[in-house]
Amino acid sequence: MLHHFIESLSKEVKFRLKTTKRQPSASSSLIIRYNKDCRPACAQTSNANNASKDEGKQQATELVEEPADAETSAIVSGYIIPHLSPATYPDVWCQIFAFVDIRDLLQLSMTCRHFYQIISHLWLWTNILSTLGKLIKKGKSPMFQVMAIQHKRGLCERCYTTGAPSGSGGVVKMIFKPELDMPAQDLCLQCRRGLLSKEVEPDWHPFGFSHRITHSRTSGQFHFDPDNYGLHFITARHPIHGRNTLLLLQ
Amino acid sequence: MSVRLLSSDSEDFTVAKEVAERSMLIKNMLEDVGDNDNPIPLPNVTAKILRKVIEWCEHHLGDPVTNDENERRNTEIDEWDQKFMEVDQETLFDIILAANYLDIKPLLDVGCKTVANMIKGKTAEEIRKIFNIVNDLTPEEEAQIRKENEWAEDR
Repeated sequence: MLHHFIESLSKEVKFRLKTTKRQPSASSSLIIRYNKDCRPACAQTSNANNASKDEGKQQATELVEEPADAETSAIVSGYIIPHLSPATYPDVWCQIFAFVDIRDLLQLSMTCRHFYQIISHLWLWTNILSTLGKLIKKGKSPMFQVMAIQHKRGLCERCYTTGAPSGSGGVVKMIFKPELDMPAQDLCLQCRRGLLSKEVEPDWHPFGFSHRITHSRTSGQFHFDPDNYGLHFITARHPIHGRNTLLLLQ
Repeated sequence: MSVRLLSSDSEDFTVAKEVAERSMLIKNMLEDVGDNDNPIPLPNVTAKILRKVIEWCEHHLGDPVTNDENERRNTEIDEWDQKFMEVDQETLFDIILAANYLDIKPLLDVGCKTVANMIKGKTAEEIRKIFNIVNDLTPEEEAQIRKENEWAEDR
């Protein structure tokens, strides 16, 4: 009899222990709240304390079932791009990045972690390093190395070379007239020559060059007006006297 | 000769074989299957997007295939394609995904160029606004990346 009593008591204690067992804290699980337009209403993770504090806020947002497809992971990791999230489609974003120039890529890498990861692992950086004859150092991303080279010697935005370490043979920043709606570009000597010889047509003068200045005379130092408005004059060989003089640009 | 295509939401489309063969995926399928009346199922493309893709393929039916990489990399988009891509962001991304799935390189290029043009010349903050990206970088990480990439700010 006593034995049965003890057994039933132990069962009850066990049952109580089970029922009063501490529930896993909400901080370990992910709570996503969506607005009516299926966008997460607040931060991705929240613990129980914060949840109770923000009870009023939570009521304002409608709780709907968490979508169980790939989009969820994108939202969880901090993105609310509804369809083409970088987490789900890195390959498609890589194809888009093929049409984006290097400065815009750097801006993109500053937007979020996934974009930074995709962009820093693009083949572009490895290709630039191989073009420059540099080896990839261990422990440093190719993007970091390219940026270090750019910081030290400049980098042409068209051909990704560094040019001469100093002087007119190096990389020079070209600022175009605002009406041309062209962003400023760092260009090496070869690309500057190419720009003038191939792309400059009588109706399209990116720097307002006069007809007398040909690509062979663009190796001089470029000068910019203080307001970064555009090129106004250039030190180049004078077409008649043959001396290095300042030539006003029209 | 015509080909039947079946969208993910079970809508049947009948298109000319030449139009359908702009997609490498469908072209290879037709080569494998041969002449057949059965519709080709496209489980990753909805009727709305498939209609757009067919419209693009019909317009670009006689276009020559471009192998010149420089020409492909040019970000200029012709006028018709610009109008074609004047859709909401969701549809634009769906077209890109459909072009990727159906393996229609020229359409994929047009879509990618459209997105690239949306990015062009924008700051990180502006890009976040355009694509609704939540910044998940810590302030320290952001400062570090900003320092590494300060060239980007130097416009």
